Amino acid sequence: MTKKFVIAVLPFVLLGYLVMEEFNSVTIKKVSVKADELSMLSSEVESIENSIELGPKIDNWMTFKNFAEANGATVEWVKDGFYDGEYDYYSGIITGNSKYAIAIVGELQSEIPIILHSINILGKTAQIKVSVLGVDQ
Amino acid sequence: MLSLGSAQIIKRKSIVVIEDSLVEGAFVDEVEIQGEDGLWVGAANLNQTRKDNSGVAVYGAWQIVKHNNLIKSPGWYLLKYDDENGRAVEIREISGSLLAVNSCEFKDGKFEGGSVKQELVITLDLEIEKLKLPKTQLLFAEEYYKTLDAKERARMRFQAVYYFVLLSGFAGWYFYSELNSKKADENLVQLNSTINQISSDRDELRLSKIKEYPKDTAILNRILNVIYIDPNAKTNGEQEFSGDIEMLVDGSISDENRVIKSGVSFIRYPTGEFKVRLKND
Repeated sequence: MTKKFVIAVLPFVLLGYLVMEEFNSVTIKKVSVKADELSMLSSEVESIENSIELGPKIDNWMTFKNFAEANGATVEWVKDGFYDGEYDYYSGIITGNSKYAIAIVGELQSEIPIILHSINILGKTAQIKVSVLGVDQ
Repeated sequence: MLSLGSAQIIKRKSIVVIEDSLVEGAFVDEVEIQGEDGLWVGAANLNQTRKDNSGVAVYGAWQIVKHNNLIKSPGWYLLKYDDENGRAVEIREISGSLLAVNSCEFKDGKFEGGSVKQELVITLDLEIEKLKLPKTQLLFAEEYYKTLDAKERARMRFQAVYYFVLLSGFAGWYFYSELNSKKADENLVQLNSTINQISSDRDELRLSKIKEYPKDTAILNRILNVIYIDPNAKTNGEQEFSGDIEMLVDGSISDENRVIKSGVSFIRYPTGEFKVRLKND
């Protein structure tokens, strides 16, 4: 009777064991995938933390405007803007002597984040559409 | 040779073999043995044998013959209890089965009754120590049914224990899975919560940081180069910084090579105007 009993029960025990093993395996895989995701996210955050601070957008804009105007160019703020990225920004058009206008934006790009959208040069005058990025405070 | 009525030890088991018959009508006080297909004994003989051999298993001689399949073809079979006495049984094949249809006593070396042709009789030599014993000894009806009840109870006990263990196993497995599932879910919820928090922090951080400032120095220098060559140079309408920049230059042929150096492609129109495409990379 004991032998029959063991023979009868054994397959179920083995089946249960295999099912539990499979279950554990699936669980471990799920947790493992999430852990990988967390690890990648942490790396991404670390990389961002090592990036350059944008600074307040109003400060950046005023730096741009003041520098341009001090060098004989005019700056017109365009409310609707030209930029469609994720950062906050102010957009505008700088107008002035071609050489100076180009030199101004070239110079300022190394100090503040400026995106150049387009340029139109006609009769020694250049119009450059720009967006100055920054943090909205 | 069979030793009827006396206890003997066969395969470490004490047994007694008594006279029985495969055909009804062999004994005056005969009873049919339950659990066997056609086996009769004398009731008094069985009772007396049990009384004389308390606790010893009692089997019938023909019961042992049948159990060991010693009858393999139709005919008369003789089972001798000693040299002069025994019992003969006639076996016929009916509908594919071998059935006992007649029996007669073999007494003092002669067959009593029946039409037995002595020369055709097969004598069974029962070396009982070499044969297998039947699973149950000779049982009266009420004893047999008690045995059946006991077997049934044992079978039900076995089934009860079997199903109990089986259900316990399943229940255990179910609860273990549930527990694991809950733990896994909790872990996953916690991980998801952490991931969401870090994602949110990352999104916030990403808006305040930039990997590098935009840099258009190369294209701006190329534009300036063209303007230095021809101060009246103009763009071909409004030019997007997302692509190459086209400029129109009213230069003389002597300026051509210098202008070419600033651009990638170069077209000279019949009007004398150049169109330069400045590569924005």
